[in-house]
Amino acid sequence: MLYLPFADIMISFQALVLAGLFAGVVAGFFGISGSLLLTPLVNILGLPMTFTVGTNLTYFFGQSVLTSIKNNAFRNIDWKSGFILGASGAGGAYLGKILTMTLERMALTGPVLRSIYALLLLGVVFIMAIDRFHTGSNYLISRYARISAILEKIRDIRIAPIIRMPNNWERSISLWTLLIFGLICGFLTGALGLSGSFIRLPFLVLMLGLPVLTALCTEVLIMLITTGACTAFYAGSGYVEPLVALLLLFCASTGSKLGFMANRYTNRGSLKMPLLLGLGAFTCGIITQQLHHPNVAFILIFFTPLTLTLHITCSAARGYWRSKKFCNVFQV
Amino acid sequence: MIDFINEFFTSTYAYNKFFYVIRLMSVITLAGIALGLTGRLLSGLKKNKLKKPGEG
Repeated sequence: MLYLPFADIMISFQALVLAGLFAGVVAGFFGISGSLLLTPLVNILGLPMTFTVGTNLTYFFGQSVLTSIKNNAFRNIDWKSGFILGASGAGGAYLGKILTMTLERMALTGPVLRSIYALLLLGVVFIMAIDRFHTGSNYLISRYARISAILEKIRDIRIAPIIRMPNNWERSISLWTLLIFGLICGFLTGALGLSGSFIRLPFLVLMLGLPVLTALCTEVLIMLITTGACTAFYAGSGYVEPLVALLLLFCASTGSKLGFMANRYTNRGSLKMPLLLGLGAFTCGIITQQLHHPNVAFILIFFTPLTLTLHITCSAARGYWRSKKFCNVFQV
Repeated sequence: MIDFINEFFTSTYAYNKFFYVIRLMSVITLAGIALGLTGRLLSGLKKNKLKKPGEG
């Protein structure tokens, strides 16, 4: 057992390591945000919700440092939009932290944040289920057109000052749109402990017209600024467990690397149904925790990523064995 | 080791919150840099291993 001095609780070391590893493998394999899995996982192990949010944000700060170093992300950054979105994100994160602290004083952080997580995950499951049953290209084209039309309307809001994108001179956008968007993303990060990449990346690509590589690198810069500010805010109030953040950084990044490597030997698309079912069970776990059935909630929340990790490992091992057999046939 | 890390952070927090924030962020940044460099090193080694001798 591990003693956490700031939260003044004991937590299982092995369970924490496994939680980080499983969340990392699932997130790395499917390319989904690890924050949606990691926060409920760490919370079910016994860490109070406010500490979980603060600690996860500290882990995300370390993860963005890691990503920027590993992928040499500073070569392809759009600095102007990166700094504007990052600075407004830091402001939004402060507002989010104030909201979480207010809920903490009313002893409502756990129930409120868990409900929001359950709703978000239900939304993800719903979208994935629709994608699963509408596989035609017409459906995807019409959805892309709908999203583009909405973004087009937002871009048409012309309130001075207007800024131009350095690598796309035809595109220009109001500074206020950027600031408000950054503020909303930062608020979500500060209040819920979400990375916010799943909203920001489409915005950077579709709205600002950045190339995908530049958008990914700019996202790393925004994450660095926003999560760095969040770490400072939460750590200043004593809501970060440094040991847990360090453990998560090591385990989740290792798991993420393993999950990414598994992509080489198995097709991610073939495992969409298990992911859909897994996320459904995970959401049920959060709802059960909310209804005060801790044992059932623990089984659903902790064992769903474990089952998905085992499924990915078996599938990747089978793919590896097949590829080896295929190579041997050709060598003969 | 775990006790040392706990003591390292709690004593700083009790002394000065600002120093604690600086210390925590420095440790996390250093851990991130170390892991990032290790990842780069490992992927570099793997790439070199795939090349045949004399391939350049």
